Amino acid sequence: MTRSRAASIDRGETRWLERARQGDEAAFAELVEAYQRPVYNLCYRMLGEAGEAEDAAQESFLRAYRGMRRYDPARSFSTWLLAIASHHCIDQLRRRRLPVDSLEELEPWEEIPDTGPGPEKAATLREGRETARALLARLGPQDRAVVVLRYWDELSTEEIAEALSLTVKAVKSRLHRARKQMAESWLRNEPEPAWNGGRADVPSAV
Amino acid sequence: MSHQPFEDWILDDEALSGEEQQALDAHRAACASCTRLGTARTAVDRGLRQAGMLAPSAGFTLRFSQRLAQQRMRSGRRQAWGTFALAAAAAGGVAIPLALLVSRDRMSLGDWVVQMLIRLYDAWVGLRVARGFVQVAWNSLPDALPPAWILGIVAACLGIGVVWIATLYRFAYRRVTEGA
Repeated sequence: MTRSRAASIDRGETRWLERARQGDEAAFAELVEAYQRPVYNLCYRMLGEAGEAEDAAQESFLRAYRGMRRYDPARSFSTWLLAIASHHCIDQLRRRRLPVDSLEELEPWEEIPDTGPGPEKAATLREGRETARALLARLGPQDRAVVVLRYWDELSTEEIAEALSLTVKAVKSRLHRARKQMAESWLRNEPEPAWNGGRADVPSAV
Repeated sequence: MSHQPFEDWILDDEALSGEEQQALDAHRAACASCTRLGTARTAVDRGLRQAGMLAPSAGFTLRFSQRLAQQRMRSGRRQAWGTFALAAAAAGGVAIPLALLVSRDRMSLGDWVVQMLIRLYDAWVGLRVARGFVQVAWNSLPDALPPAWILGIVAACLGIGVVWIATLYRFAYRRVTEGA
């Protein structure tokens, strides 16, 4: 999101929120426009498939629209929205209950076109996405949500706790466990991937 | 060799003091396992951050509006079916006892029509009696009750009427327009 776009959202958001709480569909559509990316990204990182992510993101916005009267303006709207999306994705994953035992079992990566960067940067980005997906695939639903909210949405521990209805201690513990699991997974899948720069000064991990 | 608290320091976000950082560096220099863990954590952090934010395909908001409209339509249809089911249940509630009554009496069609006419006449007479009672009350109430009481009763009746209309409006109309 560009800086000017973010600034215009800040200016308009309070007004949109107020109108959306009164049932104004057009105002809520503005909120959808502004928040579609973080919500979709969260759903994609959680579910790992573009179609399911689109469906989950749409459903999250519908739930938010229906629950707008319950939204407390004193709270951050983005945290509230991401909480709805996280809970929905956690439910979806629990319903799915398909454990991934090895990285080879993952479905082929669906190519998402990169419009901006050149071929080299695009390749690094693609590899980064592939690695992120593989690392997240091994985590349980709630640990995955904690990691996505921390790394992509940059929420604080307190905000993650609020979003996922957990204690701060539980969030820290889940983040610790998830990082350990991902680090072990990374160590098993050496050699050094391109997104780590392939630097010679980094000691061999295994 | 104990890896605590160094493993926690590597994996958690807590800021380390100068002394703690020195202790961690010293431990990592001697411990291959914690060195690997530190390297892996850095690599994982970099990998996740490098993955970037994904955007949905163009037209997401439009698709949302269409989905909302569809859901509202489904909700309206469900409500209409609910109303129909209630009306059918009410009609059944009246028709079934009537049918039982008729079949129990085992009357011919002519007798049944006569019986129905008699019952309709009884109902009409009953209504007339009730109307007479209301008229008598209407004429005698101003003498029997003080005006404040009468105003109170009228206000209460109006209040009940308003509540009834508001309830009908809320359940039969507003629910559909809200698309809940």
